[in-house]
Amino acid sequence: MRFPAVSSVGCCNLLRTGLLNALWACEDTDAWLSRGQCVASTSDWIGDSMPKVLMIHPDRCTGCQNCELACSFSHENQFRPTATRIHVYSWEREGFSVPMMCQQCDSASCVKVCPTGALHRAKGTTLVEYSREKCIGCRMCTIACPFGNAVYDSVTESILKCDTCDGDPACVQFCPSQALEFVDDNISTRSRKRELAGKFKSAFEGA
Amino acid sequence: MNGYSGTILRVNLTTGAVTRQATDMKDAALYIGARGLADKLYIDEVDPKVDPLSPDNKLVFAPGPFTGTFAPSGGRYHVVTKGPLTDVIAGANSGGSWGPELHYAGYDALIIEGKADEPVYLWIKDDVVEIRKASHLWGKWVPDTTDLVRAETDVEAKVACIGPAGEKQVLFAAIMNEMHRAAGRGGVGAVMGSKNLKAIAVVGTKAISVARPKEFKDAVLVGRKGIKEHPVGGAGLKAYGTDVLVNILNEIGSFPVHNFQDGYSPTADKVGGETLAANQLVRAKGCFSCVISCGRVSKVKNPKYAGEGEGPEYEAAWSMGPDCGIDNLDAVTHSNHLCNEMGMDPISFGSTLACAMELFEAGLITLKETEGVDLSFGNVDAMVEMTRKTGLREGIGNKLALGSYRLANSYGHPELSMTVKKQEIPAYDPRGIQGIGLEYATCNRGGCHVKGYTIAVEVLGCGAKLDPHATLDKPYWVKLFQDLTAAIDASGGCIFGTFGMGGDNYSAMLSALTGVTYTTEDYLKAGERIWNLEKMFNIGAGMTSKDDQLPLRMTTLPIKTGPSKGELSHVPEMLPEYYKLRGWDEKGVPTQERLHELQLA
Amino acid sequence: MTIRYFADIRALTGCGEETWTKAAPDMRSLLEGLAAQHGSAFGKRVFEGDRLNSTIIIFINGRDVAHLKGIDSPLGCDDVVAIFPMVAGG
Repeated sequence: MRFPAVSSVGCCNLLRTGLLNALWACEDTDAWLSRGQCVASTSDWIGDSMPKVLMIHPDRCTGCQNCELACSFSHENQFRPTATRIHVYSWEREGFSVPMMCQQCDSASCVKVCPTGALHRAKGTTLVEYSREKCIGCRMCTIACPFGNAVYDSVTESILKCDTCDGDPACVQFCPSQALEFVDDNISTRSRKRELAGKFKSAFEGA
Repeated sequence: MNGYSGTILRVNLTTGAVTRQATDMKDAALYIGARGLADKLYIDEVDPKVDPLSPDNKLVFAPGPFTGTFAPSGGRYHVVTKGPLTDVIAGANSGGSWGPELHYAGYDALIIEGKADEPVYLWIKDDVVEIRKASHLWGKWVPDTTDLVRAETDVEAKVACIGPAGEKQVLFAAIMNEMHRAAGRGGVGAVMGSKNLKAIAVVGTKAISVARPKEFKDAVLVGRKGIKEHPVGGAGLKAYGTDVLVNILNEIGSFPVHNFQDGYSPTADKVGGETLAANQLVRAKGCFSCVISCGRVSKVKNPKYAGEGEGPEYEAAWSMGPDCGIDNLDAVTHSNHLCNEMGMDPISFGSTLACAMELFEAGLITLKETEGVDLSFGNVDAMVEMTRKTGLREGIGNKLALGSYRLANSYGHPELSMTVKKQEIPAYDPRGIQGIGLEYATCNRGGCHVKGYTIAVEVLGCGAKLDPHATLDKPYWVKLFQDLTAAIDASGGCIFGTFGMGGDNYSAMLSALTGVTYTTEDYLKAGERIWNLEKMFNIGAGMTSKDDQLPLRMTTLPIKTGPSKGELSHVPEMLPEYYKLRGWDEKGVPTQERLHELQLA
Repeated sequence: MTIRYFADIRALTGCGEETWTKAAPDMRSLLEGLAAQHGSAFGKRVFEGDRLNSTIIIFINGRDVAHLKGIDSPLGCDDVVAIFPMVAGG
């Protein structure tokens, strides 16, 4: 994965959008400190802007499935459970939920097996794109994806996978708990580091 | 068809017949869906004098048009039947994600009739409906039932089921879904058990279409913003859950304790939401399409009461806590977990136990009957033991399982049962809060706060600030809350959405979704229609204005200590004005004129 | 005078209850004194300009100040004051 240098313009963007504040909010409860797992998922680098990552905070997920509803609606203007590209998995006994979507892998298995190039990554982007016109419906991608994030939809006769909604993901807009965020790439690991650093801080302060 | 599937599914457990009928869209427009549509279907078909636990009773499950869309906190379903606890209309509302799944499967309602010869469960996957054997599941508690049914059907299936309480027909047994969400009150779980129906598993893949998508989305965004900016809907409920109410009600001295013998507890804080958040809260949880996340994933570490689950809500913390003279939150949360796992209403259970404690302290229930268990107020071990015994109907639990009215009546002291229409009144003392007392007395499903939650204006100051001790205008407010709640229930919405949204928001979303135009007035009118339909059923079941009254203690025994010391309920004084506003005669019977206006006659 | 704090107000004062011995003839002066003691975050939470914050509920001996004289409600040295953020439940 390419990590472009963090430009000063990029930093200012972060501060203006308050994303930094949203991420540092991880430190507000002990529960999040001990369980917070920020998982970087997708990258999208459009032109000169910072590459964006669709980041999941499973510890914040309340299992409400608003992301699934937003995904279905934004693509089809209706609510069809089999149309969503993001799925939330819940474990009732533990009360834990995790949203899952395409990881936009650098070395994507789906791209490798696709016989027609319907799944491809265009030069200069890191989004695995899907071209319906080229798709022959062989479903090799659904077998190849190690995460199960490519799904064949019989209603639209096409492959469903996260497309990050042209850079403004609907799931992020509709999540009420900040469990999904579309943030600049290098923030994803940085916030996780900061959370753990905070644990050291607490340990030394408490002594 | 937008917002509706157009199909109602009917399953006859006696004959095994599975049939479908078209949704009457005129009814859908008049009654909206969920509670309203289920009421209409049920009341059209069932004799109000039916024995609730007989095969002749029916059970109707219905999602609303919102259910399965991103209407904020709009993912609910309603269960309608005649309640075995109350012998009047029982309507229980639940969240989780079962309701949306039924809607996605393509149904506006599911009618269950008859009785299976042996335990069965229903497996619904879109158009394919199977009645399957469930003898191997009978006796299993709710979490195991859920996992086992999913293993046999689909790992992603949503499962609504009963536990041992429903199987054994505990009169306040609940129907649980997603293990921890409940269609809780009135004994709807007992009706399901009486039909030998153990569970309903659903997978749905069909679409819910929207009449005017952009307009719907815009209305939803306005609603979400309203909730987010509201202190309750936007932050308070997520941080502390409903249990935060303990301290508020206690500080105004309207926190019933010891079976409503008093209204204040010096140690209430120990079972409050702040304590829950500090000691037991794992994380917040939200139902389908919820933006509020009031649910509590809770874990008790104390080895004596160790366990994980959800809750307790305010009502459960109260009923198994200070109403029983108990302030040990670990024990209370443990019992709440047990209630969920056995499928039982903790409000009615806790209040019934409090009644039993008063009967025990009065010497009417003996140690012999309790098999040596000291049922005095404050006995934590007894409370936990009785939770299990009641759910399983063992020992004296068999009597507690009938609810406090039948229990107290059997000892010749029905006045010691804190019930209206035989359903236990919840955690707001009507002597200190006049409006909620009127709601308890007049609610169609018996003693209930949630169908007319005037606490929002009498205590919490949401939208208006009314003096809880005053009776002025309370009948107006009670009617308003009852009508609006009925319409929201019928839409599939959670009433906590009213912390941030009003009738304008709801009617705008419903109109854009369904393509049927509802003004705010139309919306409230639909709620009033639903209320009157239920009232007519209750009159057919034998209810009169004598049943619209609180337990005698509320009008005769003043609160003894605390900030509301000396207060009594004034429901009898408010009732005539309430009837008049409702367009009912002085006996509380809807006039032909009002019924005609509501298109009910 | 006994002052009780609830929900997230406790985080601003560091306690659930305290005894207040400084003179406070009415609610406004009490809140000003408490804000001086507990910091500006507390002050911002309870005040909205010079009025009571609309998302705060305050009881004096169990009576909502809204039904007394609001922020000008008189106080006596034996009163119990309870301060809540607006929360709710079911």
